[in-house]
This record gives sequence, structure tokens and C-alpha cells, in this order.
Amino acid sequence: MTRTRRSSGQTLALLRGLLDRPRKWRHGYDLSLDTGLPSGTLYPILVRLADRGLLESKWEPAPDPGRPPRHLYRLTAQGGAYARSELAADELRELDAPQGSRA
Amino acid sequence: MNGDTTLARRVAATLVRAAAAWLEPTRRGQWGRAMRAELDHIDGDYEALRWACGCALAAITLRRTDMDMGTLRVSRFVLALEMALCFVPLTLGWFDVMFGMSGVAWLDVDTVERYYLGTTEGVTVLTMILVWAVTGLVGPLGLIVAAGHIALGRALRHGWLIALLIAGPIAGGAVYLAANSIMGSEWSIERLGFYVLFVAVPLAGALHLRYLGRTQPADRLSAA
Repeated sequence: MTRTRRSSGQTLALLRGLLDRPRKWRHGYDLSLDTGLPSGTLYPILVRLADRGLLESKWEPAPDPGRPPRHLYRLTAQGGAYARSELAADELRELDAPQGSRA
Repeated sequence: MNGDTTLARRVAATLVRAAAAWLEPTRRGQWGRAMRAELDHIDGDYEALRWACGCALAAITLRRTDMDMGTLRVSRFVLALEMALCFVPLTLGWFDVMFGMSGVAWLDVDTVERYYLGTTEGVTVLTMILVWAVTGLVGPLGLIVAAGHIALGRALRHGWLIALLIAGPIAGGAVYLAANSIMGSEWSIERLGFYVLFVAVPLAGALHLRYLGRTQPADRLSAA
């Protein structure tokens, strides 16, 4: 079934953040700082994207002894295409929206 | 990271530990570990606390959405809450019908003849009381079956018990509807509440128990 539901503003913000440097692996906290999304919003979106095969993740070896390994994320090729199409659709909606209704 | 021993940092560490532990048994376990690991890389104590609060919320969200809604399988905790919601109101209602001021337990021939048998309304009310004294048994019975399912892993497999749990609220609701029609009662929000609490909700609980009993192996609970 084709998914027609539009992405939320928070998802778009995260997609924008991830697409900013698409091949770079990002930490959750860095993404939170970049996008302004709190962890309570960020992680459920990351999980959803990963479930749909739009996000890949890996564990980074611990940078220092005594610190735990960190989880890294970046968009898959499919995720990159999805992000671009969602952001383009959002821009179109912004252009189509009446002046008064824009945020 | 600084101030490892500040109260904010300790609370934050406890919160992310709890969030990770809550997600660990699920297929989202690595996400809990990921959130926990990030905390060690956040410098400000209050920023860490803010992060941890968000992680706790995320864990709740993920755990909730991780329930396999397609198969109606929920955790034991959620099932316990659901079953209490489904059967406690009916149990209380049944208790009132049985042992309340005009309860069945206190009825005698003289009372029945004097107050109920003289008029159509009286007979209707008496019929309704007696029917609910029987069908309301679904409340305590449902609680017992649910407790067995949740605590002991006993699935609901007896056909007659399933039929009773499902038929009880339906029969009670039908009698209540008929009684209100006979007495010409107008529709009210109280009646809607009655149908929801004493018919729809117990019926939903019974159907869920039936579903769980039919879809899980006898030696293993579906509930996590």
C-alpha cells in the first residue's frame, strides 16, 4: 500500500538535519542539538525511520576507556531519496499555502 | 562530563538506566542502550537531566508502540489494567444488585408480591434485577479468569466459559433495552454509560481473553 500520510514537522526537521551531511554518521545527541528536537521526540522518529529502512545505524567503538560505545545514524540511499521528496513536497505545500496560514 | 555526583546527574543516570532496562526485553533494546550511552557525552548536568527525561518518555512511547497491536498482544501490566477496567465496574454493579439495599439477597416473597408483582413496571424491574444478578456474574468471573491468565498463565480455553463471558453482557444489555422500552424510558446519558460500562467494556474484555486463549500455546503466555 502506498503511504500517503505526510511527515510531521519534527520528522521533516530530522530529515533535513540528516540530509545536511548525508554520508556522515551522526550521534543522537548531535542530531538533537542540530534539529532542536528533544530526545523524547527524536528517538521515536529515528526508530520509525530505521523500521522503514530509511535509516541505518551502527555502534561506534568507545572513544575513551570507561565510556560506552555510541550509536550512530545516517540515511540509507532510500532514506535520502525519501527525505528529498518529503522536503520538496513540504516546500511545495509552503508555496501553495495561503499567506496567513504559514507558520 | 562534569559533576558526576550532582543530584541532577544522578537522577538523569537513573532515568536513562530505567529507560534502557524497560526497552531491553523488547526488540527495541539497542535503542535503550543508545540513549543511555549518549548521556555520558552530555556535559551539562541539567542538560543531561533534560535528555534523560526525554529518553524516559521515548522509552514509554516505544514500549507502547512496540506492543503487537496486530495480534492484540499486550504486556501483563497493560492486560491487568485493561481487565480491571473491563470487569471491575460490572463486578461492583453485580455486587450492588445482589447485596445493595434492594438487592436480590434481601428479596423475600412478601417484598416481591408487595412491590414488584402488582404492576407491569414492577415485574419488568424485577426481571431486570434477576437477569442482572445472573449475567452480572460475568464481572467477578471475568476478573478471576483474567487473574488466572495474567498471574498463572492459564489461557481461557473452556468453550462454555467463553460463551458465558460473551453471552452475559449481551443478554443483560438486551434485557435492559427491553425493560426500558416497556417502561417507556427516554434515552439519557446514564443509559449510554450503562451500556458502555456494563455491556460494551466487559464484552470487549471477554473477547480479548477469548482471542488470547485461542492464539497462544497452553504453556506460554502471550503477554510479555
